[in-house]
Amino acid sequence: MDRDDAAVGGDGFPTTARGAVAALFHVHHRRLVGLASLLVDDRGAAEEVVQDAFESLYRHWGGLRSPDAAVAYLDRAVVYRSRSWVRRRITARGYAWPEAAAEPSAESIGVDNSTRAELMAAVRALPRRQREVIVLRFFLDLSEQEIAACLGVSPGSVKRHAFRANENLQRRLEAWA
Amino acid sequence: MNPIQAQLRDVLRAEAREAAMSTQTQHEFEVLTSRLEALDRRSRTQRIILAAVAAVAALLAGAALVSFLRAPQVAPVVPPEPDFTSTSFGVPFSVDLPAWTDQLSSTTSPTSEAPGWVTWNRCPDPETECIGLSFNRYSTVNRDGVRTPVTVSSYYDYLKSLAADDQIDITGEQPATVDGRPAIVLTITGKEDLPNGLGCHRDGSCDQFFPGVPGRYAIVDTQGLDPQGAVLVLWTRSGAVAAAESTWLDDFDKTLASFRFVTESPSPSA
Repeated sequence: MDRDDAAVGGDGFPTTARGAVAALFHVHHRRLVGLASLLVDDRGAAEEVVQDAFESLYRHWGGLRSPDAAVAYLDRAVVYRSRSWVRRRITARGYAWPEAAAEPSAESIGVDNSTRAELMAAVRALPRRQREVIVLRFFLDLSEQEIAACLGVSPGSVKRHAFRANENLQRRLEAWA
Repeated sequence: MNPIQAQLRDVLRAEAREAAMSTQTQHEFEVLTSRLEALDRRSRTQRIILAAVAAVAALLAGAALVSFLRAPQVAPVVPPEPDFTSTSFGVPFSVDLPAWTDQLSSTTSPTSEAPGWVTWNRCPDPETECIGLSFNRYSTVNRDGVRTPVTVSSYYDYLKSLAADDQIDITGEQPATVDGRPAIVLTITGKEDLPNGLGCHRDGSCDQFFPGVPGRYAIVDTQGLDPQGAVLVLWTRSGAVAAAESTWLDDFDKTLASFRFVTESPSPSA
């Protein structure tokens, strides 16, 4: 694929599928690898999930309504492929990857490396569904309703999993304190 | 959002960012390019195959259409014509004839046809070897020189009375239908000479049993069909030699099965 081959529309967005997918890849690839890595715990698997998501986007390009829909499609595809049991579509959203300079370091947000490691270990130790809820809630900023729709469960179930996840995290952190 | 949740959000984003920064985007882009090109090749191949399949299907459909249009039109299925349709019998009918009539000079023409009867006879020796098939409208029966008008039930009673007097032998009696109408089928063998004992037509002529010669008879209820209220009696009988043609009884069953009243064009009454 050659990005120079991509035709450019009036809004500056490529109009061909190959060009559009290439443009989207360069903008969203890292963010999607980050999302997938939180769900699959394996860097290689996360990259493969993202590759699959872009290939799927290319195959379904003709059915997309807009470039914004393409971004939402990618988010959804990564979640679907990261968790085979995720069946419902994620609400399209304009998640902006924080600028590197604006991203607070662990120290600046009051989280030292030790606490960060403990938190991540606690997250990875959560049961699968509780972990899903936590990642969707705090990484993608999804509401309970959106998480419920995404995971195919009731909002009440999402609330229960979130509550238990909080209890487990606090228990783990208190034990380490 | 409590402090732990706030910390959790920041940690998750930091963790994701770290993972994202470690990925080789250019390498991943080359991998994706390769995958999409392979996908394009598969798609092109599939399109070529589909186009070929569609072309073949179109050719086959066209050939089938041409073949269909050129095929001779299939004639509608027409039921076979009956062997015989009466022309002067008082209750018109059609029927298929038994095989032995093939040996007559004219298969479809009866030996005798009148408003009261239609008969086929084959008699190599007229004295002993006749085989016959007859359709009769009996108006009266003759007993001891006295003729009595009959209906279906009284004709049947008359036969039973002859059997009771040991003048005839009745066997193989069974109910049946002839062209949907109720009938009684029975085998009668004459035991003694009963002149004009079988029944008489309206014109005065009569038929009789032959001693020792068995016959299969069908008494058919033709109520509403026969303008004179005569009793329809179909029979076949065979002499000693002809009886060797063992199919004659089966032939009669087939004849009864093929019998049809022709009500569309009733002939004039006798």
